[in-house]
Amino acid sequence: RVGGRSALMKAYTFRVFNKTGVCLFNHAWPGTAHTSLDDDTRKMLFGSLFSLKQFIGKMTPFLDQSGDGTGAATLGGYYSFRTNNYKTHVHSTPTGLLFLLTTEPGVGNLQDVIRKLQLSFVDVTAKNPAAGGPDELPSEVSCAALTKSVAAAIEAASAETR
Amino acid sequence: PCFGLLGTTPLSVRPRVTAPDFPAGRLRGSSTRVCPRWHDMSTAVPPGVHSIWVINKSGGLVYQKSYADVPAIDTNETLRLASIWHSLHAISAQLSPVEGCLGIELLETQNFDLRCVQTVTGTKFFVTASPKTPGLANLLHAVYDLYCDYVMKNPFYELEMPIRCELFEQNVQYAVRATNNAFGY
Repeated sequence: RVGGRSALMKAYTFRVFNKTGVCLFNHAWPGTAHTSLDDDTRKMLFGSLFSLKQFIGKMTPFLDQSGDGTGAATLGGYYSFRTNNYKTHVHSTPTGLLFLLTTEPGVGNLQDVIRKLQLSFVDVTAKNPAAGGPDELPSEVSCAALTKSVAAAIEAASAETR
Repeated sequence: PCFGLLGTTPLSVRPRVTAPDFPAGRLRGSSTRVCPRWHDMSTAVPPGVHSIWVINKSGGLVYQKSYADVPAIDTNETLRLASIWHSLHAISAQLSPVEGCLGIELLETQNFDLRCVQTVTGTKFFVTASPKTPGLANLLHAVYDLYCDYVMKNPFYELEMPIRCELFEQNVQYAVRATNNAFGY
């Protein structure tokens, strides 16, 4: 972060998980405590997000039409939670992909930003004929490309919000 | 219409039943079938505060009450949800990308907001409400004050047990009503 309040919105991590908890993409900006994701942390993170999704489904204040207890969270697919020093934005897709973006706590609704990140991820995996499939780890080259587009999207988002 | 008599009246005199939000003119004599927008009715979220929950320092539920027309949650389910929230709160502090995290304060979803406050002794107060309801932090601090006055100072209250203090429940009700009224709900 350079300068005061008028500087870039500070982001910590951007991660993508598939429906079984495999981390498909992990990008951490400088200043983050746990940059790489060791196995225990990964399981804890994925497990807590899974429980949070079920919690939201059960706490939702209207009758869940889909009947599986998780309908509410996938209705819009986006929710966020904030603590005193970070904010996590979660976007889930009907195929079970989970996009996580952690930023500073002061940001607002980043639904559009995370959707753009989802689209770039999809460009690199599902739309890429050389890739294994949407559920597999993207290649080195595509990881680099994805990192660049993620950094660009965050810069664009902070330029808009400032 | 006398629904109780439907089984015994002849077909020709049965009252015509219309769906509540369906203009009557559309049904009679209309040949096109239009589906009523049930999904609109099911996604109506009651405005204002929905419920208040208090969790003790070990994660057990000591108080849970709903203040709006939301589907009731089974008692065992509320106990489970309280302990799930207790662990999520702790894990969010562990997984923080920076030092000094105290746990989830605000959860914003499509259909409700959840605001949580943890005291220095580990008791958690959280409130669910419709999205963007203002005044929730103040409400939680008011509930904490009421907890100190009517629960902690009550000589018959057993620590960490479910709260059965009438004055506490009454005053929390007033506090919720005041929050709703202050913002026009």
